[in-house]
Amino acid sequence: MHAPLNVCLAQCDAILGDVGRNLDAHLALIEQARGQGAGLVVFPELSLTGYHLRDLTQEVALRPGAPPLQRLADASRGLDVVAGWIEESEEHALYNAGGWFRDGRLLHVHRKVYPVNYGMFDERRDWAAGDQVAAFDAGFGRAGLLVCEDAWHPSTAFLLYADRADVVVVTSCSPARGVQPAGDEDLPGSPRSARAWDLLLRAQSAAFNLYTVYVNRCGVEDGTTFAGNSRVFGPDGEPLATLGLQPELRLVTLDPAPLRRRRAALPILRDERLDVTLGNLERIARGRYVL
Amino acid sequence: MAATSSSALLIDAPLVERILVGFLREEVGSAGLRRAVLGLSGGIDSAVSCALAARALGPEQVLAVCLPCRGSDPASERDARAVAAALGVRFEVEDISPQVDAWSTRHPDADRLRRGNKMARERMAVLYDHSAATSALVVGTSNKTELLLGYGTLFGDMASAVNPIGDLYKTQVFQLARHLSLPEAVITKAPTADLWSGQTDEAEMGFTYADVDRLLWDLVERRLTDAELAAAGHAPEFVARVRRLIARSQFKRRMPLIAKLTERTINADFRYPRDWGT
Repeated sequence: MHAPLNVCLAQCDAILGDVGRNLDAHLALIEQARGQGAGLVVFPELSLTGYHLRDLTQEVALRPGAPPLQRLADASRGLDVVAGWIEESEEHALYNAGGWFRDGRLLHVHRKVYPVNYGMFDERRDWAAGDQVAAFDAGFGRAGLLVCEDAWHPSTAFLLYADRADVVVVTSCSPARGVQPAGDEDLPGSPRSARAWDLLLRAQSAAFNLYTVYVNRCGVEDGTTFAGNSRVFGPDGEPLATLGLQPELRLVTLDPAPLRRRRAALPILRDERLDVTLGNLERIARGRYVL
Repeated sequence: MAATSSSALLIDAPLVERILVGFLREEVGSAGLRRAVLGLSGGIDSAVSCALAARALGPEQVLAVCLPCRGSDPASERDARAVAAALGVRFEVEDISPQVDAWSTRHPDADRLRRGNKMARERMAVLYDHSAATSALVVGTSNKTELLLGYGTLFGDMASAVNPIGDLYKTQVFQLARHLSLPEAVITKAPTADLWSGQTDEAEMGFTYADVDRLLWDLVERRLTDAELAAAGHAPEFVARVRRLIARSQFKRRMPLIAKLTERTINADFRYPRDWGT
């Protein structure tokens, strides 16, 4: 990381299935973020479409270069934008995609690798699963993008760490679940699901010595309340921003100096043995699967 | 397996209030409406739903209708009136005795169950008529305990457009009622469907809400096996009875079955979100 990043967390609601109105809301918030001096504005998972799409999935899907994506690209001059939509591939597979727009173009697309199919979730029915986890250069340094459940698989954060990401952006539509009172060590006034995210991302930030920017949706859709509680964690795991249940734009500066200090004190990335990891993963995979 | 204490059912009441108020505000708005109507019985469930609706939409946008029938305890109407006054919502009393009496003369031999169902469905009909007349969404008042046990009338008191308390066990509804500062009389009196004089839920069911909620927590939320439930202190015959009640009332918690013929059957492979097009 060689330059500070002013990241704006756009914790917002979405109108289910209405890409046009959601795009208008994006463009308005992007201008607000620009006015605050942001260098990056991050919207939640599926911010252009809403979450509970079911049979609407194919109706709202966007091919690469579709006009709404071009509008976001145009808005990304001088201010990077991360947003989410349903991407239709050449083969007409539908992906839950997160995209990073920069300098008038779509710099990077991450297709959700782990659509969720347990508990209240039924994502694999409608969405294809992506198969790439890659960091990329984004002006201030290297960035990585994950969508929601991806972050619950430690391999994804490990891959971004191994790919030398300085900042991992995680977008989500995580519902508020579990309303037992918080314990002394917990975040008061937060659902258990938000506390679980907090624990996970705090630990991953500290373990991999990188910044994590987590932007979750808020609002209500089909009876489900999205938990908000977006977060930023520093490379030592300390929270730098803690949002609540309500819509909010929050600007946070990610400074290269703490990251540099942390990596100097704990040079685990320098010492990382990817050959050992790769060799052992191959051994494990050969034992479990036909390769 | 450690015995489950009632502390497992404790809720963060301010958080629950925020979620449920937001739920009502957004889902009523998603239906393109600003008003709500609900039956206010004088009991704790409808009082809590009414308080949440008043906070979500503003008390002037909420119509609470008390729907007594011949034989209803006069204390029920009195308590309903007190709740409405405390919340500042609009309040009407609509006696359903004429409708129920007209039916009774044709079916004088109907038992308590049929009579109770009839009254619940007449109340539903009145509320849905108010819904159409005043562009108000019908707010549900069934809690999770009674939904799981099937202790309600299909298309009667179980009918609503949006239900803010359907994921709260009865003992949790009590906690929320205290947090919402509802009148003490509503919180402390014995829960009753008020279908006949002296009826109480717990006497009719044969167990207490405290006991059945602890069991439901272990059975539904924690998914314990029978052996684990026994080790946690739940009597096996009680477990078996509650399991039966849940399974036998599953039909009440689902939309009617549609016989499949085409390749896009409603709700099977024609699957759109409820908030579609709002």
